[in-house]
Amino acid sequence: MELYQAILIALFGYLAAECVPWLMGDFGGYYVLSKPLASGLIVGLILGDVKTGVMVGAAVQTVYLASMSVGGSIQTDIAVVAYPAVALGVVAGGDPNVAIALATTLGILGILVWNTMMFLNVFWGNLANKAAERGDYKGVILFHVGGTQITTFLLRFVPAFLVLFYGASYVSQISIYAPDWLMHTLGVVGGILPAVGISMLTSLLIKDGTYWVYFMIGFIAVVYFNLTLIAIAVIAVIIAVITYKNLSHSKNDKDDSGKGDDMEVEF
Amino acid sequence: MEPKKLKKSTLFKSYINWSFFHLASLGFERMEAFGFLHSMMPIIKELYGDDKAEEAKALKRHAVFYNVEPILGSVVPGIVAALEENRANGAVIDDAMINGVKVGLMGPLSGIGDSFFQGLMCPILLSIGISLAVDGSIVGPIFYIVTMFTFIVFFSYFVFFRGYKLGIESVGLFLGDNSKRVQEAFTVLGLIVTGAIGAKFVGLSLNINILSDGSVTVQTFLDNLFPSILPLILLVTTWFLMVKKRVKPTTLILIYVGLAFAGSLAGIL
Repeated sequence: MELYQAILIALFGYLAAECVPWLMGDFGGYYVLSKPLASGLIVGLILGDVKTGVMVGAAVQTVYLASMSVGGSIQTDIAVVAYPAVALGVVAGGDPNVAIALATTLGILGILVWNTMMFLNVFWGNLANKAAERGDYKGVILFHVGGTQITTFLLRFVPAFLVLFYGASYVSQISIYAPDWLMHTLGVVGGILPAVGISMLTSLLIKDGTYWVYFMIGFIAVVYFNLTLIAIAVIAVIIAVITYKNLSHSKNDKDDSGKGDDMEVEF
Repeated sequence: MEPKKLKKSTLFKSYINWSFFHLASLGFERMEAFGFLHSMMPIIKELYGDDKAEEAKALKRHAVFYNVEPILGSVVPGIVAALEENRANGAVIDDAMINGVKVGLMGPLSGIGDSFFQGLMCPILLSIGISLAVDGSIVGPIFYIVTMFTFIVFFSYFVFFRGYKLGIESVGLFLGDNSKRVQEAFTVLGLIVTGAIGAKFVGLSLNINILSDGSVTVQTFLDNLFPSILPLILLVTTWFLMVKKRVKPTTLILIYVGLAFAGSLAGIL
């Protein structure tokens, strides 16, 4: 693979990834160009063999038909599969099995990249928050877009480029530098830090200690009953409407009898 | 004074900011908070630009934990823009209510949005694309790219402006004599969903054996006592530290990251 080809493919691996804004965010990236079917065309164009590119992309796509990213956690980093893995499959003579086999190894690297990004963005987020407190619009954008995208670019472009230019043997070397304890620790951090974000919501919503009972309804619905967020939201609306109806009317008791129903429609 | 009315161009800027930057700074702590704030910046500038204190308060109001499926979730910045417009015109809409609306919507919208777009539309359009791509025909990938992207852009644009209209039309219901009751109802709604999100997002478990062969662990004991009790304790403690002890979120993050590294290296987390 030529140097410029490796650079271009690694660049697309960054641009099409989740959390990269330049292709209209996830609208053009994650949902569209990070699909192996779409990447096959782009990789084929860059490597000068569109036909093979599309065939490998389509074959890899069948394996990842139902790949999902839900609520900020991923099973596979699809952009890593779509660009470096598909490209190496094309270079290896158009064998989709090469790409599919590589995808598994690269996918582990991809999850490390993802978790590191989620971790670093906590710090960029805190700088953006300080800017927001100052009323500084430019500062918010500087950290929320500028800062995050510099680190995300480095995290995604550099390993993809090394893998493409020096071959897949580099993958195993990179994973030596990223041992199990680091993966595990980032997982622990990822479990604990949402507590800080969620406590900002509880500190806004909880007016006195008794309000914790409402929080507990949602919490227990998940840990004991394993309900989905949709089911819990329906229960929450019902309880909210009951609360609304039970609160004493300050005045004008008669003219707002239908308003509780209107509120329901709003959701 | 003339009531403030958001310009169409301001709303369009808000949509553009959301559609490009919704996930730009996705992080463990606040997820899409700054993506949402970015979409609110043109709105805040137009509504509160002449009052620096209100402006900074509004920016801070939207810099909190937020996480939604971004396509269907485009409806929320529209609704909240309408709420902010009314607030700027003197309506009694407090921070708890605005965040109650945001939190109350993000759960169901994510559930519906993820299952519809990732669970249904992507696999269907991809399957058609794959079948069109036999023998390496470029029709397959082009079909997928064009249909999926066009649909997402039109759909998200439509729901954003629909959300604004809905917000303007329904905001009257929240106001006047009813406002206290409605705010209370939204607080309740928001808190129940927050509890569910807390249970889904926060994870903490201990890796300590009671019997040395690993057959009885502290974690199995805790799970039998109350599932997810450690995340619950963590959430209550964090709230307590932030609200009662006035510990800053930044300080908490540094402490928690330190504890996570120490605990993980010591092998107990």
